Amino acid sequence: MSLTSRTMGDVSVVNVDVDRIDAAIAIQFKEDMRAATQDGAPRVILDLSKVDFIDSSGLGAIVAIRKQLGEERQLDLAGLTSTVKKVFQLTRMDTVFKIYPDAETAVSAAAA
Amino acid sequence: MTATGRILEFDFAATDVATRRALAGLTHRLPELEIGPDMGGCIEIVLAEALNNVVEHAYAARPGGKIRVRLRRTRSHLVVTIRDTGRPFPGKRLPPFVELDLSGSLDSLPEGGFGWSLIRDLTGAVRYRHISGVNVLYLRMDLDPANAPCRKTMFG
Repeated sequence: MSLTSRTMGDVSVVNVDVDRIDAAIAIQFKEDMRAATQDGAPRVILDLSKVDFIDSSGLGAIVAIRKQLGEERQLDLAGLTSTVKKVFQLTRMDTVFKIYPDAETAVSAAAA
Repeated sequence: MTATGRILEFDFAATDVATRRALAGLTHRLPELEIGPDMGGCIEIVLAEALNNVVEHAYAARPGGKIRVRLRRTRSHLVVTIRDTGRPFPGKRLPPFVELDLSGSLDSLPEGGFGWSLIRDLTGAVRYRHISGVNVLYLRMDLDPANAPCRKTMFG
């Protein structure tokens, strides 16, 4: 399992515990995410602060997870490291997701 | 992996696991080419996309393939050469550039097709040749902070 998650009320924070989300683990990551979000929390925050690198397969997996959650649920991202942030900016995926500096900020933004 | 002067050269099996390992190892060796972590991240992005493409398309479903990578540092550029003996690109030409459309509904968001756009965003020149059964991909990246597309991305 590449993930650990905790749910507080309507918000679930999923921590990614691997340093790379790439072609070698993208499918496993998607499956782990499906399992981690099964509780149905309306808002999921994906904490990427331990991830140094993501490639297009990893990015595709996050988009696929976003779609799986559907319009009724929300997927926000937190803690993007510099190369991961660059990939989101270059592909303009930073316009599709709400991105927070860290999970704590993302959680309090939900409470507001 | 060997480093001769300002050249790094290495080869590995054409699998996604070996590619992951080679790229993770390379990031520790870029200081030998006097390349810092910021630029190093962009080089890793470009290499990952080019190498994934070789594994998934050139060697698709063909075991035993090898990939050879050479990085040459000049004063202002990094020249990357990737060689493999898999299938050539269709028509022996680089695929056309496709602009991704993110404007539609959630369901229509693209889950792929980012690879070549990332490569083209971050490289000054991309050349491809198929010579005597070998695919040769040249990628030239500007390292000059004033010109490098890598440096122009915003950090917020």
